[in-house]
Amino acid sequence: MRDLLRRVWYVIRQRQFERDLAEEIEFHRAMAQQELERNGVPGASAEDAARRAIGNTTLAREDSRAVWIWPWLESLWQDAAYALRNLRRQPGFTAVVVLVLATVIGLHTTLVTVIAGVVLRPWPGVQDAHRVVAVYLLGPAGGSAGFAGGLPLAAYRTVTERAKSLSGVVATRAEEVLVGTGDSARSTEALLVTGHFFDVLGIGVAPGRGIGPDDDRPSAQPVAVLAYDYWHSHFGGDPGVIGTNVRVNDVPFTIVGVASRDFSSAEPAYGKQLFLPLTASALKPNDPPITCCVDVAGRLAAGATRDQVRAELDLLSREFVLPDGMRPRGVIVTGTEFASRPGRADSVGPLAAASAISAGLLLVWLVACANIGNLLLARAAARVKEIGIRLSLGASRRRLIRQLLTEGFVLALSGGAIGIGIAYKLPFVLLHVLGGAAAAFPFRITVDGVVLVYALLLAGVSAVVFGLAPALFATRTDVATALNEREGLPASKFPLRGLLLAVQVALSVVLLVSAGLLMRGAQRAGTFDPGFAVNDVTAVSFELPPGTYDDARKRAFFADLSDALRGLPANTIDAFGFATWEPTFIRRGYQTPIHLPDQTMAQAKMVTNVDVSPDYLNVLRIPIVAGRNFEASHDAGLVAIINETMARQFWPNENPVGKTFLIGRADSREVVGVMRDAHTHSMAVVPPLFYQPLRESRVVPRLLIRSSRGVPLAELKRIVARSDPRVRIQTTPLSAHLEARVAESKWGPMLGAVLGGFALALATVGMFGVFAFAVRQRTREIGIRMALGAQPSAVVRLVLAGHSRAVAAGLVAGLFGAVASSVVLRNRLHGLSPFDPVAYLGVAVLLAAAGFAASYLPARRAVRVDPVVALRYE
Amino acid sequence: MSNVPDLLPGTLELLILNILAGGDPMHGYGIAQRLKSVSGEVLQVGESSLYPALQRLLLKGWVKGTWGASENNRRARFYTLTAAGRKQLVVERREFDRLIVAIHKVLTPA
Repeated sequence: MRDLLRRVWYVIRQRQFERDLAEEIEFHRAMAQQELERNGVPGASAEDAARRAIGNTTLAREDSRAVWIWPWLESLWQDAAYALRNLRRQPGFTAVVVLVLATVIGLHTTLVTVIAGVVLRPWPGVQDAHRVVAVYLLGPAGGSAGFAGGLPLAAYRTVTERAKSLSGVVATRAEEVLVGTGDSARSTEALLVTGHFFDVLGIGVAPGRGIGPDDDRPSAQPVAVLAYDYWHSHFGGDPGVIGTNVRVNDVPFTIVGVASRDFSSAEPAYGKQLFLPLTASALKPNDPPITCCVDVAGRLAAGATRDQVRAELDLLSREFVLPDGMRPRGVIVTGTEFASRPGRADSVGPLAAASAISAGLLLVWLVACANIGNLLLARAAARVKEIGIRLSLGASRRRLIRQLLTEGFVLALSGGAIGIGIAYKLPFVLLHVLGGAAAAFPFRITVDGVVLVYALLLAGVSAVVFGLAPALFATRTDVATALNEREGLPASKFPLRGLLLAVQVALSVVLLVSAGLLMRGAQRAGTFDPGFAVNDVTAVSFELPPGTYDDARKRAFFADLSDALRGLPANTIDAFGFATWEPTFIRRGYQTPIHLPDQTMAQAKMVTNVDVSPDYLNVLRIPIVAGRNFEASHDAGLVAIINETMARQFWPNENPVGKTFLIGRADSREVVGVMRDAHTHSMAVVPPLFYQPLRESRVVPRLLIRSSRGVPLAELKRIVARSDPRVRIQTTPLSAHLEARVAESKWGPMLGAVLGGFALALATVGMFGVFAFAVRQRTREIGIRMALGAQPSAVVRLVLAGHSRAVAAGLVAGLFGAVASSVVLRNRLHGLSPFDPVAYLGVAVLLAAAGFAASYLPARRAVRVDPVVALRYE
Repeated sequence: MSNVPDLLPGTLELLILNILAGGDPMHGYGIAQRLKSVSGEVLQVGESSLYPALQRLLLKGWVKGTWGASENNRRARFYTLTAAGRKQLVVERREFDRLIVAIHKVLTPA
């Protein structure tokens, strides 16, 4: 303890202590000299002798100092100061390295920021969010497709009443509602919530109050809570809005509160503008009340764990009945983080994309480290003399290595600091640029402790990765050779340089080939043939006035519409039909477990299905390859048209026409026709798919019109208005869906191209540096050879030969890596071969150009070496 | 310099303490000289071991240093033993004797 106080005293009075020590040692030396002189040694040589006799004063001083302070702590500071001085003296080098590091670390940290937002953060704005769990049901079918999703309302009630491990249970359901009246009515996203939602989750409501249990009863006065952003954008953030009315689906709702801003970025509330009681769904009389399904979340009871909840609900779930009459296999209980929802971590989801990106980033990071390592190596080689002198003055090798490493740390930390700055802004810039696509990411992105620690750790690891080997190599020299040689060590002693070069080239090849393949894939996606009519087809969706359309009226409306369309002058439209969903190039629509009569339920596979009118296939120009189309007159709901993929999967080498399959337990369909495969539901692959005749359902079907002269929108509006002026329509050309998908599919390749370009630039600079260094190092040798009459070409060969081998080795290794990575990427190539010659050839050309660029200047400098100057180089 | 025979760790500190136990304040050079002459020129301690050892003793609080004028009128730091140092000397002396006896036993088997 006393020790510590004395040490602290030492730190405080450090200068005084050092002066004392220096004076004391100098005194010692003077005394020694005096004695030598007394013994008859003359002054000057006595001084030398004294110095020699008492050894290294600096070392003595350092060792004495080391007694006082934890040596590394102090010398760390010294080293850092020294490194800063050194780096300031070479601003060009420092700027390049810091910039490279800042970019790499910034990109990594950005990605981690996003991933942390996706994986680590539970719903924001929720009290004690880690005690909140989400509950999902496992579907009845086997396999991974068995995830059914939310709970039927009855099941939710059972959980509320009987689950002991949850202290509170809530249910939500997203619904689109009409807010406002007449022409100013707007379709708005609302979240229907159960009465305890705000209580149980502990969501802040200010001003006003949340929806309470009394509001969630069929007889209750309808109330609404506004989302924070909606309150600001539509009500100017006016607290006086509490108590006023807002018309939702033509029913007045009293606004009772405003939900907290934090919660508005939580997944259930994301993009929602209103919170309404779940019973409000009954206010859409043209729909039956909700029975299925709601998203369920709950708060763990005191002391309860997720496992207990799962065990208890597994048991309870045996009583649940799914809408199709089947029973679930059990429940999934997860946290509320974005990625923990079942199905999000699949092979095409955002997480898979993120891991592909992080793999790319890792390669870029390695290239950057190899590159900076080589720069440091060249720098260290240029400092061999300095290092030799310091070694001879008694600096220990370990100390020098530490000093060189410290330089690396200073560089890395500066880069890291800037990188963190980048990570603060970049995610938002990205989300801004991505625009609509980003709107589908309901999670909060913030740079927090986790992200900062990651950035610092990455910087530290980088410093060791790029700094350790050069430091070891530079200090390996012994004093004599270091002082003899003009600059650097013979090239042969530096296989490390070649290795680092090869690594850079190899990784660049991997990245570039991947990027090239992705770009070619996207190009292909842009021109791909979806297998059905896209350009002339427009989808029309209808918003029926709420509360007034029962089944009969709906039927009448669509019958009128069909008649009117058929009555249009010839050639106005080519064809029209109805379907529950138009083709959107993503898997949208119902997924149903399908199995054959001789199979068990456990063997069922999830198959997409869409309800369509008989004309639908004609509208999309999808040909029937076997069997027949639906017939309007006598096909009830018991027939299906399947696509070729489904035919292959369920009836390989058989004619499926006339066969039957089962939906769920007992609902059977007879296959009446097989249609050609078309990319209606995915750009990359054709999933199994079946169509069944459009039946009356609570879904309002969409109208699809094909017309080569453009859809007569005004005419269509007139027809609809004549039938019912309150019906609003919205039209979307199918090509808009396709463009959106194509645009989305361009992000990956673009990012890949950026990363690949970055890596190539790094590798080019790296090659340039190595070649230039080789020339500088051998200037004298070149001079001698030139003087002896060597041809310029021979000189160029000589200079470039050694490192060209490294480049070639890197190329070969890179090609192997590229083949491996392209196999991984196969799924994202839109059917492009992973060995696409154009991509590989393009990369080869790029690399050749880069190699030329990197070697041109050094080679020119080599052949211009003037023998006289070179020999006078000393 | 390295012509000090390899001392057992801590021995140099013991020797310094013992020299200072004479009571006269001494500077570093004087301690080195005394060590050299008393040991019959065997123990020639270089600065790089002497001063770290002195600093260690200062740190432990076993010696204290005061600045004064040397015999040739230069400023020098004179070291004296503290009370704690005196106690430590006894302890170390005992330990050292024990060690020497032990080593001796090993070297001359009965």
